[in-house]
This record gives sequence, C-alpha cells and structure tokens, in this order.
Amino acid sequence: MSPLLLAQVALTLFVFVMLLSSAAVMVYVERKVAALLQQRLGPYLVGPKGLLQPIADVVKLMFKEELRPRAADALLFTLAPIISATAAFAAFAVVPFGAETTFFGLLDERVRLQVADVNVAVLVIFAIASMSVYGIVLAGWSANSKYSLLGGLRSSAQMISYELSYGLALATVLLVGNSLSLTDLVNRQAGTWLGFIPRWFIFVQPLGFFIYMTAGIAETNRAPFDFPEAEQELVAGYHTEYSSMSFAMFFLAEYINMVTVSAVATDLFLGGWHGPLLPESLGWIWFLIKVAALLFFYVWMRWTLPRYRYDQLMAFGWKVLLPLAVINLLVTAAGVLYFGL
Amino acid sequence: MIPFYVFAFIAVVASLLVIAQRNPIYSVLLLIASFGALSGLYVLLDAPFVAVIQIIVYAGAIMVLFLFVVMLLNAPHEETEYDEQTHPLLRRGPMRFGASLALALGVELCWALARGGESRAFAPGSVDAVAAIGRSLFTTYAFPFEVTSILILVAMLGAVVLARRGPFDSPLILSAPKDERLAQDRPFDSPLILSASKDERLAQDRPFDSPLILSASKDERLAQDRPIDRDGGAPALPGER
Repeated sequence: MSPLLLAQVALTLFVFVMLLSSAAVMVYVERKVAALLQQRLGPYLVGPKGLLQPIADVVKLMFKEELRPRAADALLFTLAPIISATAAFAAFAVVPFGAETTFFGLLDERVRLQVADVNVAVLVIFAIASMSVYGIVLAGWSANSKYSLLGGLRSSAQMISYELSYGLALATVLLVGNSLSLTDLVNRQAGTWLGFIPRWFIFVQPLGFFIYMTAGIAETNRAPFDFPEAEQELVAGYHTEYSSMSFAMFFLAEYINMVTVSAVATDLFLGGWHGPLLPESLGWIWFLIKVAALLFFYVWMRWTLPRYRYDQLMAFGWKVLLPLAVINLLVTAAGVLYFGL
Repeated sequence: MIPFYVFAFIAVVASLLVIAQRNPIYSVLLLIASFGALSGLYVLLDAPFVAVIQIIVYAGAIMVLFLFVVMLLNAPHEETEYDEQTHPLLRRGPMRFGASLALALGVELCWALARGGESRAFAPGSVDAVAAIGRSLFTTYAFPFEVTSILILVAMLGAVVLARRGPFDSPLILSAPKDERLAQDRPFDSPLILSASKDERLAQDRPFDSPLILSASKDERLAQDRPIDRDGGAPALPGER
C-alpha cells in the first residue's frame, strides 16, 4: 500500500471518528450550555465536570430494549435510521477542513485535508441533504403510528420548503466564487481587504449567510424549527416508536448534520481555514474554532427562541426566505455580470 | 469495468422490482435505488455534474413528491378475486399495455443504437462542463427546455385533476351512503390500511368523522357534541329534556 493511499484511508477514518465524537461532544455542550442559559448546573456527576455524561448516555441507550411496533413495516422501520445516519456521514465527505499538507514531511506529496475531493462538492452536499429527507419520512411512515406519521410529514414538508432557500443561498456563493469546488471557494477567501478585513464571503453575501443559516437550522430540524419532534404536540415526532440504538442513530444524524452545516458555512462564508496569526499548515485550528462558534450559536438559538407555529414556519419559508433568496441571487448575478464582483 | 457491472446490475434489478412490487411505497424506494445506480454510471462516465443533478432532481425532489403522493393519496387496493389471485404483471390489461410500451422502448433503443455516431460530449469532469451545459441549455436548446417545462406543468395539472374526485367533493360526501363515505375520505391512515382488515379499519380510525356527525340523528349529535346546545346553562343529556 502506497503511503498516499494509507494517508487517505487514515484521513477517512479520522473524519469518521471525529464526527462520531463530535456528536458526543455536542450532547455534552448542548446540556451544559442549556444549563448555563437557564442558571442550572447541568450534568456534573459522571466524570470530572460531567464530561463522561455522553458515554453514560450511550451505554444506557445500548442496554435498552430494541422495540418495534407489531404493525410496523419491519424492513423500512429498520432501514430508516440507517438512511439518516448514512446521509449525515456521507455529506461531510466532501467538506475540506484544512490546507494541503504533507503531515509534517511524512509524505512526499501534498494531501488535501478532505475525504473526497469532488469538483462539484457544493452540489454533492445539496444532493445528500435532499436524500436525508427519506430517513425521516420512512421512519414516520413505517412505524404505523399517528404521531410518527405527522412528525415525518411535517419534517419532510419543512425540509423540502427550506431546501429551496438553502440551495439558492449556496448558488449565490457559487456565483461570487465562480466555482463548484469547496476547496476553490475557500482559497478565494484568502487575504484581506484594506489590510484588515478578511476576504470572507460573509462580507460580500451577508444576506446569503443569513438565508443559509436559517435554512440550515430548518434543514437540521433544530429549534426554533424543531417541529418534527415537537414534544408538546407529537410526543416525539418521527422517532416516537424508536428505542435504544436506532433512536440514538437519529440523534447522531441530527448532531452530525449540525456539524456539517456549520462546517459548510465555515467553508463558504467564513473563509474556511484562513485566518490571521496561524500559519497555513495549522489552518485547521481556525476551521475548528469557526465551526465551534457556529455550533455554539446553534445551541444558543435553541435555548433562546421559542418554537414557532407550523403555519408561521411555512409562511416564513415560502413568503419571506425564498423571495429573499431569489432576489439575492438575481442581484448577485447582476453584480457578477456587470461589475465583476 | 467491475463498477460498471455493479451499478448496471443494481439499476436493472431495482427497475424490474419497481414494477413487481405490490406496495407502492417499495416501488418508490426501489426507483430511488435505480436512480442512485444510474447516477453511479454517470460518475463512471466522468460526468459528475450530471450524476449529482440526477440525485438532486430525480432521487431527491421528484421522488420525495412521489412518496408524499403515495403516502397521502392512499392508492386504492384492487379487491376483486381476479386481482387478488393474479399477480399485477400477469393481468390482461396491464400485460397488453406493458407489452406495447416495452415494444416501443425496444424499437427506440435499437434505433438509437443503430444511429450511433459521434456523441458531442462536453469536456468531462470540469467546471467548464457545467458552464457549457448551462450555456447550451439557455441558447441552443432554449426552446426544447421551455417546452419541457410546459409539459411538466401539464402533467401537474393532470395529476391535480385526477386526484380530485369530482368538482364539489365535500357536499357529495355528506349525501353518500355511509359505507361509501367511510371508504372515501381518510387521508391519514394509510399505514393502517395496509395491515388491518377492512372492517377493522372502518371501526378503528376515522380522524375526520365530522360528516358522520352531521348525518346522525339530532339527539345523537347533541350527545356527541354538547357545546353547541344553547338551551340551558348546563349541558343537558338528551334524555333529560
């Protein structure tokens, strides 16, 4: 096995493990930040400062009984969480998280810090996001339960509605960056204007960033758009009938989707691994910092804003966000065409 | 070569299974699998853009709508004896229709293969290919492109017309005999239908049973729904008045 291939395999494994552990970290962060915002302590008994709480959670889930309603469609009921988790992992494959590196001279050639370098990466992310709807729809349908079905329908309607704005926000960035490859797009954000403003696309496309983040929160079914699992109305939504590890897989998928949306936002709008002070080879530290900030924002939103009503969500998506995204796209296209932004 | 055969095998087998399924949900899912395999073939042809668009448009957007329609419209199950005993593929009507379609497809394929010739492909695998596709779509092929969109619009209108059961549906429902009403209009219980027997289903699950209330005798209605009763302060049972 050539060292290059070995490095690629190691990188893939590394990303996989990091995504898994990021879900665990997010569970802890979510609970701690929630506690902070509500002036509670949060988990503090398991391990120092409650740091081992996620592990305790997972162990507990593992030892729970795997239940399946008798009237459920066995095949699809089993398949649904797998689809969700797979789609969540797959989307991150095309996200670059650092500059090319030789791993401190270990390799002869330079390797991109990315699982798969696809030149239509932005579209791949969009495609996989559209596939993840199936996990939730099928989970809702196959469980043969009212709450599940309503949750699944809500979720898929929500995801389809916000996917449009999400895609249009991505398209505007493509126009500005004139590329479909995430690596190219990140590299176009290197350097500064006037010596101190970083050339991040968020400064060119503030509206695009707003639309992207809003649609991203809706896509990942997070508060204030967490209708699929609105406990007060739907018990638990599409995963009402799930228990044990298949339930855990939906949560894994949700947290990994959050990480992916934040990572893509970092690459598209926040300059990826470019930042001051650190050398290019340590750019992944900047990447991590930016992603962590966005994830904190996610959690912060959840515990600050109340859930909207469902009709408000739909009205906002179709009557506000989508027109905004279209106008933003048109204005950006005109700007690129006539002024060469 | 091996990846080609893997994808081709998946595409063909999944497509065959689509029409061999009794449960429309499985048909939809198998069609998605088939589209996924097609997308893999596009990747092998060094056309990643087309591959991704295949997933976004077909497997993502269109099939989600299919799934919705199948789940919500709750396609009626044929219940005659002939239908029950004969596999859908072996029935007379579908056999003839399918045979003529297959014939047409075969002729078209032979024609296309015989025509052969140079394919005017775009430079594979580059972003320029995306630009080239876009440019030719909006210049050379602008007319077919727009005509296709009108075709899709017509198909949508057709689907809406087919899905509606007559122009003024709800008044009809109220006057129809009870069994018909029950059978007609139960949008949300599709999963149950698949499992329970017919009588069980009727007894079990009528989320929108307001039509029933309207047709019941007055006393029953009062008993069911007392807030409407304006006679006295305290809601009275039918027997008390």
